[in-house]
Amino acid sequence: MLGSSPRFLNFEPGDSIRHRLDPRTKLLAMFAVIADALIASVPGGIIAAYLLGVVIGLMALHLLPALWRVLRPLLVLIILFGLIIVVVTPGNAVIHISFVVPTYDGIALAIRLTLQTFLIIYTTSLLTITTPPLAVADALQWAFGWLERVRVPVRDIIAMVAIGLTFVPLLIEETQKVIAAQRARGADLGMNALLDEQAMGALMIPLLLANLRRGDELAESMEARLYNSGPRTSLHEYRFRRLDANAAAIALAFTTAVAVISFVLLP
Amino acid sequence: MIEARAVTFRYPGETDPTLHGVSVSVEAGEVVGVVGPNGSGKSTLGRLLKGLLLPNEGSVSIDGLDTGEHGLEVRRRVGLVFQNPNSQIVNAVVEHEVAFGPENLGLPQAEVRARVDEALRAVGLAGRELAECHSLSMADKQRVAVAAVLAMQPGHLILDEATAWLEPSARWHLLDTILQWARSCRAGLVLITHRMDEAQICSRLYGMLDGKIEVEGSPQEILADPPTRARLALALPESLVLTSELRAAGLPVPQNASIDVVAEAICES
Amino acid sequence: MDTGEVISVLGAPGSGKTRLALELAFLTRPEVGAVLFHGKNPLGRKRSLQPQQRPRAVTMLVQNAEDQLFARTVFDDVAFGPRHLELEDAEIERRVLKALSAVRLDPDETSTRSPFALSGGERRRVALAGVLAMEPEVLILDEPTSNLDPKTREEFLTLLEPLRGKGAIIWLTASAEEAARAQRIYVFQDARLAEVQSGANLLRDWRRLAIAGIELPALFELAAAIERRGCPLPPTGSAPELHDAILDVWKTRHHAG
Repeated sequence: MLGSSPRFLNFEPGDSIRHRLDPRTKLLAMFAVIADALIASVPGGIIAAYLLGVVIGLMALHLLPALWRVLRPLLVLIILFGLIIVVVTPGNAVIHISFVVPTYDGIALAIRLTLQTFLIIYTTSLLTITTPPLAVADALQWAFGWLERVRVPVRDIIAMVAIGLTFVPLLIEETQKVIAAQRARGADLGMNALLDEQAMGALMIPLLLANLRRGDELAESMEARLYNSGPRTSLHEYRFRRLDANAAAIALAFTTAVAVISFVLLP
Repeated sequence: MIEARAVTFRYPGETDPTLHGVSVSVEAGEVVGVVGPNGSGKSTLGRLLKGLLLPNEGSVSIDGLDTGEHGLEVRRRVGLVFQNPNSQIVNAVVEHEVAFGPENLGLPQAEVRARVDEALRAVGLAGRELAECHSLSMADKQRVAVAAVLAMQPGHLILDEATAWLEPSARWHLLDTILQWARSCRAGLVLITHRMDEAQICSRLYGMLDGKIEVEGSPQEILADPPTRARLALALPESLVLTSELRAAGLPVPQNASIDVVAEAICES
Repeated sequence: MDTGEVISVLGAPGSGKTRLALELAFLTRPEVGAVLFHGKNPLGRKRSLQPQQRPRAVTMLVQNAEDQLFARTVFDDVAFGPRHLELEDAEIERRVLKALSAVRLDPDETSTRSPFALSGGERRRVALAGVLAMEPEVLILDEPTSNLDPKTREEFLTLLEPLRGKGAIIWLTASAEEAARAQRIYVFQDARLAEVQSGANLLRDWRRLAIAGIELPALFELAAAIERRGCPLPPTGSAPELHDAILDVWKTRHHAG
């Protein structure tokens, strides 16, 4: 289609440091950042967590500008929710503007949540744009495979995640097509249409139906190639190398820093 | 050898059978076509021959193995390529997709690698192993889907209107590639199509209508008769008439030769 | 283009026809240049596209339009477009029924059915009815017969014939045969549009079309295949002339060799 820029979640082949890392390392680094984001105190801890995020980003330098273009609208959304939180949280009021009452607690909470959410989304995107869905799936399998022993259908869930990631570009393209088709008939599918039941129906129903049908066909295609008929092997073998050890060490160092700063130095 | 004997099939929940007493056979090395209008049951027949569906009456056997009793083995021996590559490709990277089948077979890594490379070479995508599937053109995507099936090394291949979503130039390119592959390993090929020019290159045709085999014979017999052609929703391209005249003037091509074959024969002097 | 004209834009798949269609339908903004409707650019100079700015008199039938159906009944789906025109219910009903008849779907029989109970070809006709019911001044058709089997394609083409003269039609296609039915033809090649005078003249230029990747009738495909192999054909144009020319080429080579 049009656009060679990475779209949200879409894997872009390339040769950055991130691309060369074992997916398991990247997954662990992502978990580390998420954990850091959640435990970090504001402002000290979160700054350290963001520094880790920056370091990770540096490992995929050439993708950053395009990634920023994609994340910018999301950032706007996050900030909007932050503002809502500011006025919704009970606590000491900053000022009364008719019925809108921003509170200090609200501001603190909003800042925290906004920073956390953005960092998490940013890191997750870095993972998915530098790692093919299959590798993400394999890494998840390695991390959570043991749950199979307690009857959790890990393999199937992971397959669903991988296929979902694979289809993101196609889904985006199809959504654009349906939007164009309905707008050509006069529908207004902008932000104010979110609450219009018919407009949303005109968008969601064709997409849902097309993809439910596609799900059936994909399942058939997979079964036709004997999926789930026995033990599987893999084209790829993953090996931890020095690069991975270095990356892991960096993640560990930052995480320790975040923990120390958040709980000991500046709680 | 693919064989269907008096197959009747009804989709669960449907009152009318989609297929009624259908019998077809495909030998090794043959190219057999199944033509007919939309809704005649062509695709359903394709799925039955692959073993994805089981007949309510009658039987389907591949190399003597009944599809009901030997489901897995049958699926391994028969490849099926569908129309829309977007509904077949589940992986984001070309080589992952082509490796999917061999991986499912539990083959050792070196073997998987070898099969992937061979399949990609066979469809003309060698060197594109690491490309992202959804950024490819429809024609290349379908090539990936074909490679993914060829990597299973089937003895028979069914193409269910596999060229429907391709533009004309890409269509013949892909078909010629598949025909070459089939010839090289003496695979039986079933071409389910509604295109006259594709029907022409088959050695035998089955014409289906409303779930039954209406006619059976060589393309010359079936395609020469206008009422039959109309019933089977096949249109006559001008090149067919021209091919007859060229043959009458001595051109050494079979009646159902493809455009490229005819052009080759004319220019080769 | 003028009212009542039928023009076609002929281009190979992937040539950017859909992008052009979107721009002509005022659904997306061209990067350079502008599309004018009745002499004015309705999109204005702002960067974003306000839905209200889009002229309602221009509609488009997208590719594989049968995928856009969503309503509970055929009637509701076809009425979706007219409802945005702020018409009275009686008028909407009139238009819907008229549009359904125009696409050869019996209004009494199909109005209350679910669109998903229909076949692919029938669903595409419902989608066409949906845009016809808006009684647009300009109707843009983006490859209306793509992915249809030959029989359904023929049926669909006969549906489109009576639309001539009722407003302007822009028909985008990858098939030279379809393009030839229009009054004026533009050929899309290398991101440029070139106008060709009429249907008859179109196929005279079959060599250029073949290079552009456009779908030609089988005879011309054969001619292109022959020339690709280094066997030149005389500069003929019409199908019968080409037919005879190919026969002659073979006969000469056969007797000479």
